[in-house]
Amino acid sequence: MLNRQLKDFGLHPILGYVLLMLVFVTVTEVLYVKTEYGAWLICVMAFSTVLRFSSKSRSEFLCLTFGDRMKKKIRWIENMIICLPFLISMLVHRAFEAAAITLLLASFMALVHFLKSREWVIPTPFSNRPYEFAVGFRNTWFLFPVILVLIGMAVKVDNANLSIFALVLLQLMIISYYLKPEDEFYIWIYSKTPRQFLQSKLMTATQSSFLLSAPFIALIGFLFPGSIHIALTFMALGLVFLWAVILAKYAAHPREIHLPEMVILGLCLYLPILFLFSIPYFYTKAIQRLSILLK
Amino acid sequence: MISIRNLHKSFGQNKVLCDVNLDFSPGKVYGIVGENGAGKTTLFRCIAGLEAFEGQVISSISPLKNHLGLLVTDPFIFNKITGEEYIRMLCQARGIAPHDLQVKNIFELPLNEYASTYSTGMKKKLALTALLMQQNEYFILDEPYNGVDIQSNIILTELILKLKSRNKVVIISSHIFSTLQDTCDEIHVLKKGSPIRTILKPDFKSLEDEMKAVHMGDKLDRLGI
Repeated sequence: MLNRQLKDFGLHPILGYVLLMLVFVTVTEVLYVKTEYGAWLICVMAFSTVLRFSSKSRSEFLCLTFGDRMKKKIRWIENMIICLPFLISMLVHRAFEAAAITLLLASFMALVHFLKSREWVIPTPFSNRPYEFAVGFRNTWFLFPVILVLIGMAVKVDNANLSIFALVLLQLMIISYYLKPEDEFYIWIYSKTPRQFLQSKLMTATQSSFLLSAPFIALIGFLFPGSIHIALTFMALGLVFLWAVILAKYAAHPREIHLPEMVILGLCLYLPILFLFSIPYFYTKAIQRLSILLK
Repeated sequence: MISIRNLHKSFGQNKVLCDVNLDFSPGKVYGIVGENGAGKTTLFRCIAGLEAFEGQVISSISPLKNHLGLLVTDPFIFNKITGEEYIRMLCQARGIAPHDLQVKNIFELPLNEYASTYSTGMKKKLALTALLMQQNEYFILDEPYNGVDIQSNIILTELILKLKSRNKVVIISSHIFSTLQDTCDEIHVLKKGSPIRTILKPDFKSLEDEMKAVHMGDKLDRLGI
């Protein structure tokens, strides 16, 4: 399945695995170098990945198909495979405690499954303008404490750059709300022209992004007054990147954003002046795509 | 009024709809019947503008899609969005501010829960509630009775008749013949992508008998039960 996803993304699977490995090593190394809790953050990453394979429907399917004993074996092997890169990374950095806890948690998770919450609806300030921010907020609520902890650590080690890193994390999280294409029905329902549709999407994204980022910007401004201009610059850059991603998403619709769009977006991040060309390009392509569904 | 003229639709070499010419007037309920794969859903998607096609779909209010409530067979619902948010999203898409959601919640859905946790029938009722709140002039309901409980089926039939009395155009497809008998003024029979017959209300019974004779034959006898 991963092979197919990589092919859809426009990558040869072997190249995809190499890139994934590079990204994984880079992210984990940054966590080890930049924070003193790197191993534990990686433990959380491993646990959250294992969690994705622990739904009730999945467990029930495995149980019905292979029987309970085999289901537990399969799930244990799966969890071990998932955790292997995380465990290797921990062992290389001699984080034996975190590795042991990861191993225990992954083994325990093979025995349990989680019900989909029916009752517990996470409140969101974006309920009035569904759906991207309302859904995204509920999917990523657990990252807000992580961002706050990072800002707290920035104060502790008196490192304003770490608080800016937390802000970048927030911006990336917001951008992730717009990465998946919606079903065509949810574009078709709009009684708007493609131009009006894009304007309303960009406007909602801008307003919601401000609402979500403002408390963190204010906190950074309060804790590191000398770095507020850097925080605002990153916020502005994040917003422009968000616009580009939204436009790229509709330029690629109905498929997901693939390698060509990713390359353009990556180049823009490297050289932000390129946004001046990429945004009009994605906008024109998006208008063309949307004109099929919106009259 | 919706008029379909010389509509053709193909997927590659596969002709799905061929020379469809139909008229749908306000204040009437139309049924579309046909075997699986006859082209009903594709026809609905063409009318809605979700598929490119050859031919014309003309409506008295234009653009048609902005006044059309389309209930698809299996409504896609986002994860982690409540029933209330779903309705709000569909209303906002049409520039309508939803009011009195709880009063208008005629199917008594738990609107404060995640809609993705709803059963198939509940999702269908939610989608229909949202379409009704959009104040549409035209309704296409693809298998509206599928998966819906018996109490809601009664409400649904009355609702369709109410829409008819309000001069709306209603087009439905259903595999349950009795639901068409209760609601439709005309039934169009679709076969291999073309409408082959139009049956008026007095002849519904004979259509049902005919369908039984053609499709049942001696199939049950062959089972030897």
